[in-house]
Amino acid sequence: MNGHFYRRKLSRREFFKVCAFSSIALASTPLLVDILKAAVSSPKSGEKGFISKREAMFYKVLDEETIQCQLCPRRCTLSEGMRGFCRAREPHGGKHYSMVYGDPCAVYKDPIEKKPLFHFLPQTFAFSIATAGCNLRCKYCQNWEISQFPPEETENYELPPEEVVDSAIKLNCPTIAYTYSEPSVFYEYMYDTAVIAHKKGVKNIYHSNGYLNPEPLKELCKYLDGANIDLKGFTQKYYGEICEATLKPVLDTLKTLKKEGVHLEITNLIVPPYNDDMEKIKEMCLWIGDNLGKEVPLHFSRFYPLYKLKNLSPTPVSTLEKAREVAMKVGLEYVYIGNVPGHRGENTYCPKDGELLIHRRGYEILENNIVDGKCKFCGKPIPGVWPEEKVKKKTELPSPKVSKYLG
Amino acid sequence: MKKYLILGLILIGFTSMAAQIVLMRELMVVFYGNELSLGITLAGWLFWVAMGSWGIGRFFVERIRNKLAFFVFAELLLALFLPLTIFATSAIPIILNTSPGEIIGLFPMIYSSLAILAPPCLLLGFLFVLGCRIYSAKNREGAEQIGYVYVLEAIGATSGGLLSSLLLIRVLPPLYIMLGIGLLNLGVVFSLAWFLEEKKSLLLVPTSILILFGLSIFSFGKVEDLCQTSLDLRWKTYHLLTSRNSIYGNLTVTEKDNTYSFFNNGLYNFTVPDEFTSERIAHFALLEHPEPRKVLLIGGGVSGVLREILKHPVEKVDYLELDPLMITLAKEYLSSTKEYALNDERVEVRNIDGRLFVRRTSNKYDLIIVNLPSPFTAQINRFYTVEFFKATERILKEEGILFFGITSSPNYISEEQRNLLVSLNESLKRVFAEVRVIPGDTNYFLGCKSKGILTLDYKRLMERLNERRVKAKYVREYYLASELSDERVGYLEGKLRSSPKIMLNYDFRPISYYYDMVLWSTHFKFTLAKIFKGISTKGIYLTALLIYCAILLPIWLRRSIDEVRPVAVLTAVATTGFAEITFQVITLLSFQIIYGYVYYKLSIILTSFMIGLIFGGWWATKIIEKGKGNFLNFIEAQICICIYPLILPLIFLGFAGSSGKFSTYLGSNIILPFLPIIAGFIGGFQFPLANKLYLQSRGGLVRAAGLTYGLDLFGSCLGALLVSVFLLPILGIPAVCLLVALLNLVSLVLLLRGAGSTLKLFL
Repeated sequence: MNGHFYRRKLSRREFFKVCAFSSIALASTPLLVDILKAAVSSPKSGEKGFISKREAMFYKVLDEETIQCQLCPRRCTLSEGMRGFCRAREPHGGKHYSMVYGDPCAVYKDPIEKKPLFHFLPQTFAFSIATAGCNLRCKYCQNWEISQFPPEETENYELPPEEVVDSAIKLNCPTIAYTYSEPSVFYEYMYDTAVIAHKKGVKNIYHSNGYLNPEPLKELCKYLDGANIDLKGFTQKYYGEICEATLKPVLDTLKTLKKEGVHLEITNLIVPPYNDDMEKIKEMCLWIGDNLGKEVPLHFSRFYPLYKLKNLSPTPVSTLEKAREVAMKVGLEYVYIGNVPGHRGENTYCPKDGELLIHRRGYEILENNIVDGKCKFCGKPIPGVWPEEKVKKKTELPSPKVSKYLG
Repeated sequence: MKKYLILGLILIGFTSMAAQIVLMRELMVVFYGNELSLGITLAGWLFWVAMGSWGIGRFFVERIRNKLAFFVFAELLLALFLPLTIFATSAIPIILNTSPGEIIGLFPMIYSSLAILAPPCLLLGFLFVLGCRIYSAKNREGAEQIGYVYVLEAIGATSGGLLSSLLLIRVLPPLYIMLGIGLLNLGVVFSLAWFLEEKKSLLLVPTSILILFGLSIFSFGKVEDLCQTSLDLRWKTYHLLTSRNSIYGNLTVTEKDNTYSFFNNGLYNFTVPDEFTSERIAHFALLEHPEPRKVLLIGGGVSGVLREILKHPVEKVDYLELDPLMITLAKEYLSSTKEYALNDERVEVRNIDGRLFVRRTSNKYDLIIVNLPSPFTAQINRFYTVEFFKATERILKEEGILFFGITSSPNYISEEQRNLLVSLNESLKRVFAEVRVIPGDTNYFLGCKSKGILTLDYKRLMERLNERRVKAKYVREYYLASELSDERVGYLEGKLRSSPKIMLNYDFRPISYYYDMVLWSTHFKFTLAKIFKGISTKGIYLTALLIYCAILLPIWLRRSIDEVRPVAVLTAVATTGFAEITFQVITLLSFQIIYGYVYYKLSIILTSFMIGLIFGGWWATKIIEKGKGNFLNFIEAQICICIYPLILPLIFLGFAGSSGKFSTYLGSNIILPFLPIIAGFIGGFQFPLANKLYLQSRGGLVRAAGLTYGLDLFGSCLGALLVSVFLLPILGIPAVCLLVALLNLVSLVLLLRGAGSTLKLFL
């Protein structure tokens, strides 16, 4: 070795360049090892990234390599291996797949009042499931840890449709609720479960953002007994800024559900200063009255600072009260305020004679004067799904273990 | 003229430090103020000053013909930019198109803070180099000139830091401060402008216009309007009642429909009334204890928690709130609400740091409620460590309970969330005989000294509620039956199972704030979040080793000592910069850990560091002036900087472990506050010497000043970013000190190689 290389005058700039590049290159190696190690593993049920796929029900083949998803109004055009906006769908070999079939990441037994559904088998439990993914990007999402992640990044259980129905029956739940994140993105799983549940006499409800195309919705309605749809606001601006979505498809969904005869309730989350304009709320209530009927229950619910909207205050109760007044003035018959125990807005009153029909406290029913779906006092039929037997006892809340699914 | 120039140079230091303190606080109000945002903004500041001196100053200063005119012009620009940065900061959410109340993501935070900091910081760095050039007499190229400028700047910085942190931020809104600093600069600009030989009139015109403009703003009360505009920009859609600064930070109160919300440093803190939250904190805690008589509440009492606590038959509630401004605001805005409970005779409010109180008190409590945010900064993390839990255990009675809440998620616990929860759960278990965690939006942790006291059986809790005739809306059977159902409790317990990968949270290895930061990063679709997750202790050590080799090898392999020497000196300057900022971060945190958060003592720590720096710089400059000061002196200083971090953790651990009166006095009043003088001295001593040594082998005063100042700041910049964000929480203070010692050892090895025969000569 002649040593020439080392003797070559290295300018300072070169020296720093060499230093910088070599340190960056070297520094990244061990980090890469760490990251790769974390990535390579084969997940089991209950572990992170456990997923199974199933061919999607609604999509169009555009050409050999591309398909267009027909499930929600986004209609993502996807080619091999690309993930849809909802993070839960992906085409392979010219077919479209749901990546969350039978793999819920949240499984609970919840009071139906929590969904909230106030006109649906009061004081019963709903066996509730959810998978990863969502077709909206609401900045205040309550379940962002699952809705804003692909199934590979959540811990999922293996719970095929038959087992969902069996578990619901075993746990004394007359209803299965597709909820928490967005049930539309696990459409096939929900649909297959609903079909089996329907056969076995278990009811199906879903709490959705309503951002779904009419065709899949109509197909689902055949097996759906109840729905709670989030009508998050009544302006396109709000839907655009806060949810990255559009308002119209949601309104269409509401109309379709009504037309198909599914029991419908609506939730409106009031997030000041975004959608607490009483004029807009009035407009929304008028629309509901005109298009869906005054008998559709409407829940105003309270926002708590969450996810990306961490630096907002919770909705003042008086704002909710104002909204409730507006809605009732417009003529809506069943207007509720969620999560303010002891408030009138928790109870159901007969729109005809004003009698207290269901006296609620939190998730409990203190008094129920609806008999055979009618007001006990004046006989006015109350919309909803009510128990078939006449005599019901107020029962202790049983909570058998479902820890089998909960790891 | 020299007189004014000296004043100008001092003023640059003053401006730099005062503006830094004010602007950092403003940025933290806009960003999510965790260690990552703090690290990024501080690193951004240091980076641009470094670029100003190393990047711009070094190249342009010699090319400028009329240097004084440029100096005046640059200072003029600086005076103009300072108030603008405050406006720009409050406009960040608007420029980024963030919705009101939305937290700003990692990436937008990085580029917006870099954009805002660039103009003033580049000017500051540039002014330093330019100042050195002007200060040194025409034909003198001595390092002592750089040394003097360095010392002058440090004197300015010390006074600026003290004045703004202790006085200005307390009495003036940020915009006023910036305008004031700007006007001071204009004053000097004006004085210096008289000495301009040419183009005098050209510069005087804008100067006087600016001065007039500034004066008119002051005199016509327009500043109020400007401040209001800047606040309106930020709180756009809220009814803003007040936004005030205390030494501890910014507190803002908004109102809507008779509901009052408090924001602390821009982050949502609490709302009144919000029974849902305050009931859960108070009743979950008090119902767990069979007979709660004496309660200690750390933080957030005015939110309504205090009122809920007082519904129980308690005898005494000691309520700690560090910032007296919080109590002042509560008295002003909440005294008419039914949540206001400060007048109750059972309540005693103390404005003291919780750690300090817990350490000092001889009281014994049945219940300690920590009502603070999740551990999102190193400062708050002090309330979630094994050592703090031990300290609370000492002041709890036999059946006493410690209680705190961590923001969580009711339906699904993600991996990142679990890491945080498990690290806290395991730390708590290390101290308390029994630990339970309540599921929900917030997970409430309970630690009890005796077994068999805690219960998650809601019926048991409801019995107590009824016995005590406590009226509650939310902590009631009609919610708890579902919230505390077997499967929800079971799910959380399953997730809380310990894992060897998840570390415990200790004072000197505060890992939980790192877990919280990783959790925060998952809010954004940003690949860096995945990197955060992947970082491990082993990875860091291996990376450090490789970096050391990367620095050492290329230089070591050079044959000629003349080539090695300047590079070795420059490397040492950079590693010293890294070390110095690490010492500051670690000393400040250690003091808070051992003796609590005492604002003026923390100021003393920073001031002693600066005084050490001034003294060291002055000494070295004097030596150089006498024609002394050589490579060996530099090596000696380098040896000191290798030894200092080895002693530092021993001192901290020693004082943390002893609780005697004398050692407490010694530690909190003498050793810890004044130890940084040594660190400052070494760094200050090295700087002028480095310039001399560099000038000996490579000429050019401006180049030397630009390079050394720039590299010193680059080192600090890296330190600011790496230490508090990654190294400190993952490795812990002792290991970080060792790492710094080793890094400086690399420089020392290079220096020894550079010394070559010189060293033999002296030995």
